[in-house]
Amino acid sequence: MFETNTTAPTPSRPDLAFWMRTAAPFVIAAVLLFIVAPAMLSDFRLNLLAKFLCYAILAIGIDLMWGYTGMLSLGQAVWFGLGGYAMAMYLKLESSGDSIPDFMNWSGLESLPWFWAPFRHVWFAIPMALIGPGVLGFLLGYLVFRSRVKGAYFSIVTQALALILSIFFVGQQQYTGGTNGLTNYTELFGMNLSDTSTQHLLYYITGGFVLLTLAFATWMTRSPFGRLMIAVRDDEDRVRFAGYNVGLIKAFVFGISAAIAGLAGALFVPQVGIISPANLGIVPSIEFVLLVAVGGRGSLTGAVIGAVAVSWARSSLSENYPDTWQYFYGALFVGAVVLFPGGIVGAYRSSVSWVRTQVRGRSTMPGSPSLEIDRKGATSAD
Amino acid sequence: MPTDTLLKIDDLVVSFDGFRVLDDLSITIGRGELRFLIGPNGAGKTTLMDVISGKVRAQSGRVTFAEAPKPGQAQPENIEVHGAIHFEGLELTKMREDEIVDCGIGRKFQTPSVFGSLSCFQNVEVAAGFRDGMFRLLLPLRAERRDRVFAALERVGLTGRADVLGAALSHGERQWLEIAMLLVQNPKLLLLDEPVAGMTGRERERTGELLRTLEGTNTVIITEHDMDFVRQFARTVTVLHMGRVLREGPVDGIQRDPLVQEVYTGRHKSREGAAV
Repeated sequence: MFETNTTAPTPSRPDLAFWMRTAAPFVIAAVLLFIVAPAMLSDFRLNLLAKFLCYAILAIGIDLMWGYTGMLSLGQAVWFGLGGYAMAMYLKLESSGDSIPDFMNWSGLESLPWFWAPFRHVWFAIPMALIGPGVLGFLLGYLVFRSRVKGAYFSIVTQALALILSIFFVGQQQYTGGTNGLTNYTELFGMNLSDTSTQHLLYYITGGFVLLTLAFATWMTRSPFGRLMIAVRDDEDRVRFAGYNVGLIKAFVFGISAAIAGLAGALFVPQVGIISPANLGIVPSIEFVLLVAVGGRGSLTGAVIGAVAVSWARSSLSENYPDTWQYFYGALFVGAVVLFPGGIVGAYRSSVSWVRTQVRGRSTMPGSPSLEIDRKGATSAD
Repeated sequence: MPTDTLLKIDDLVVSFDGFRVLDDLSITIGRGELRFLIGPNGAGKTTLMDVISGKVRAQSGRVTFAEAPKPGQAQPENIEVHGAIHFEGLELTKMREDEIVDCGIGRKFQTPSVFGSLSCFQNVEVAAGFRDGMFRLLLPLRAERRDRVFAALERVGLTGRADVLGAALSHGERQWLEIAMLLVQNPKLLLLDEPVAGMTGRERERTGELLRTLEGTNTVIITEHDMDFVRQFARTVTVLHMGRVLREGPVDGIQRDPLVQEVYTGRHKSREGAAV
């Protein structure tokens, strides 16, 4: 986020250089997503990339919550899954025509349950995919944070939530499709989902949402509220004695992060063609956190890079080593966390500042000799 | 003595696991006063600040554990608070920490705590926004707010360090930054817990002068161990001992008081010279 490790420039009137620095990641991302990738990748690979971009959106939300505000949720797949199910309910109804979805028939239901009915309308389903997780996340967060549950205890609560919800979705087969989840969609907005053109369109829409989410998160973290988020991460009790209702701030960020996860889930489903309780359990939740850990927590571009890079590695490892890929995948995580605690972005930053000190000599930062250590302490102590 | 009362504490009792840390304590602080709280270790100075600022709260209805806690296990704290703290028509013992700050009471802790990954400017900026709504905070910083933050940094002499991260500051600078974070909120009452601890002689001098400038406009309660500092800058002093008020009055009279001398010499032989 900041140029150097020791200082954070005081905001002055934004000049041209400031806007160029701010816009640069967006321009680079837009060129890569909208020009380079479609030109170089096959339809299959482009569809894969679209899926990875959904994870990138989700990772931005996790970074706001964990990297900036210091709340490690190990249940983020819950919100991703709820957003996905909201979208899937619409797609399922759309493909079932006038009859009720097939799995309901098998389970002996005769008419559509009341809570399914509004999802016939896409303009209900899509907002619900964001608002539902957002509001639920805020309320749940407020209850948890008001009683000052934090740190590892908070992580355990969120993990329990992921477990409970995935079991619940398996159990309620007549309403949720059970273990099989919701699948066999045919069309979206009247377009055939299996058409290449539809999948291309979905890729561009997802790419657009990556940029939008990134812009939203950049605005949020650069505002005074962004400084407050970092303050909560550093020392939440001190924020309380500065006169803030910390529970409310944390619940707000948690809700935002849940809404972003819901959006990612809603974009994910039409491209993958299925959502099932396996998508909202503990294992995906932990994988999601690792996307940000590898990319570099506390850096929004890091979250996006990490999400795409890890997903890409996962996919190519599983293609090339179908039997043993999970060992490589695990080794990748352990290696990344042990060797590069700051993630990809952290490694990049420290190599840049290493090159700088080599070029300029040792007298570049007067008055702050032990900063490298302090900085590490500030980020790793949670 | 000022006639207008800002803070009135009546018969305050605070006990941890049945041990009375504060014992029927009553203090009245006038508006605009600069009051020093002194007393030997364990007299209850910090606990008093904890209760005023809301850090210590009664946990009523909690069962005390009959079993002794195992080694390494945290002692279950059974905290009881009785009595009342009146501040401008409000009863503080029932309020949350942030509500207490919102009604105009700021606190600096004994160990300076600033936000390490934020710059000095940003630390003060966070403190300055404490009455803003959530959505106001999402809008860019206004110029007027910027000036106020710089004015607070100027008062503690940290203008030149505005861009330096909190983690890179020296101990004394952290103390000043925390005072700036209080000043920018313009509280009616400032609670400063050992503001000069760990400072060099010159830093003490500067802090003392800063505190003097607050007198009259702000009401300040300071706890302090260092008797030289108290002699130099205090006017009215309250001596606490075993959770009670032992003596209260002008600093000269307190120093010569035989009871105060006995408390200090009885507890700390080494402090004999300092207390007299």
